[in-house]
Amino acid sequence: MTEFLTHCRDAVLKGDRERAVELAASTIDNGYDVLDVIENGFSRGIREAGELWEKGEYFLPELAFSAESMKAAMDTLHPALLAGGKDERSRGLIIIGTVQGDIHDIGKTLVATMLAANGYRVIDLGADVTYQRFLSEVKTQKPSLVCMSALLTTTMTGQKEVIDLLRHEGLRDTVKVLVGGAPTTESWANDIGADGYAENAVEAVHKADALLS
Amino acid sequence: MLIAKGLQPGMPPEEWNRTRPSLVREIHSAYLDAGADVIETNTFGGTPFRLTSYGVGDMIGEINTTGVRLAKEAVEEFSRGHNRSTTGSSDPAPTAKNPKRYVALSLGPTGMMMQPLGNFTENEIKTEFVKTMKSTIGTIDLILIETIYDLREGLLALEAVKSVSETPVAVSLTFNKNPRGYFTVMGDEAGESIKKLTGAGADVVGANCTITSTEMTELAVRLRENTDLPILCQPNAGQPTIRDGAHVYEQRAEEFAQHMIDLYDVGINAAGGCCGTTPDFIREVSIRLQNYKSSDAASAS
Repeated sequence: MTEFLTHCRDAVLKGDRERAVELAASTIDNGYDVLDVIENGFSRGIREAGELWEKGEYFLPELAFSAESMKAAMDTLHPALLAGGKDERSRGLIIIGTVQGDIHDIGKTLVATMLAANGYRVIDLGADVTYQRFLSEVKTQKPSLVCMSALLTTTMTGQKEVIDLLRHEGLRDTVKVLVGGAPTTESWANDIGADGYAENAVEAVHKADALLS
Repeated sequence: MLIAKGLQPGMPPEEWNRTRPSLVREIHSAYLDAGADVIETNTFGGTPFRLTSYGVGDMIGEINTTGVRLAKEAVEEFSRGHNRSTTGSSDPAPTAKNPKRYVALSLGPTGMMMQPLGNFTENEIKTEFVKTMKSTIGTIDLILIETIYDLREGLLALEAVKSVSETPVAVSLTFNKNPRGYFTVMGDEAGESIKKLTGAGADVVGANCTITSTEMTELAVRLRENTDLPILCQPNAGQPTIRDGAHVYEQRAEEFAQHMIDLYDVGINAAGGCCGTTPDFIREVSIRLQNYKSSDAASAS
């Protein structure tokens, strides 16, 4: 079993999506404890990938492939978890998007994948998401966290617009807000009244964990 | 600069070449007046992929050729004004006392992720660059491919523009600092990247954006060690923030200019500014560098 768990970890750490799915399927076939395999196998892989990123050993491609592999394994395991009466995606719902007028979505997509790989249910609204769309999604989906990305100095103000809009609608206290993107900073996040700032996808997971714990 | 003049989110800055040409020209003039030897066209995001996403993809030729024309007009006007005030002549030609000012065509990254990470092929990336600069061939002094965060894209861009034009090409990458040094987000190490670009036939190499002038002086050493080509460094003016509803960058022009002198000492050949570097920054750099170079020359002789 220990060896099997190590294989699961390696598949995610090396970003081998096919292998991860194969291992997830055989978890079910062999009747292994799904939660044990997730926690001590696949999740270890994504955690270690994040650590390698922080050390400057992993970069965007490695992290993206690891996160994709993790997500794929979780998708494969999902039906078994539901059947067992457990939803591994109970850590909270997150909606994420790049703000209006901004078409950049490489970083945002990686954050979304990393959050999903770390057990959150994530709705990715894509890029160029209008302020009203963020608002209506908060109203209808009732997420625990809204993540907003902006890559341009012209569009970063959109993050403030959305926060102001949430406040104006009396919804600000119902949801946490995390912002990120190249021109944004911790002090920017404070200035506009966000709950947090994340410099990269790994930090976004740490911040989400802290905000939603 | 464009934001201060009212550029709204969701509007491609390059569109102003068509709709507010005199304003774009004024900004060019402000940099020339500040002492810039080279100005960049307002064409950074003038690629088919980006312009199409803003709904103005069919304007690509007009947007980019107009961008070049506005910069050239500003140079001519500056040169004519300079000659008029010194010799009374209204001829715009450069002279010994009025050195030539150059126009560089700015080409930013495509924003398209290549396979296997994304969906785009190498050929599609090359086509983007060719389509962007095609209408400007033969009209510019330098092609400046900048803010490139994937060495592979930088090499493809270089190959693409070299295949259709004779104009010198500069490739400037964007590096981030991590615990092991300076790397692109895709993991290309700074020194290795510069070596590869040099080998691939770039005429100038460099680094711009994201990092501040403080970090740039550290990175510059690594760049200098790895190429004999001229190096161009264009750091940001600190990080942007909002004060009283307006965009401001934290760094002061004096501090920025001082770092440019450090870059000169490291052997960097061309200095400039990226995000947040207004004409005030360039003026400060121009004055301080000139003073420093003349005192340097005096002490050497």
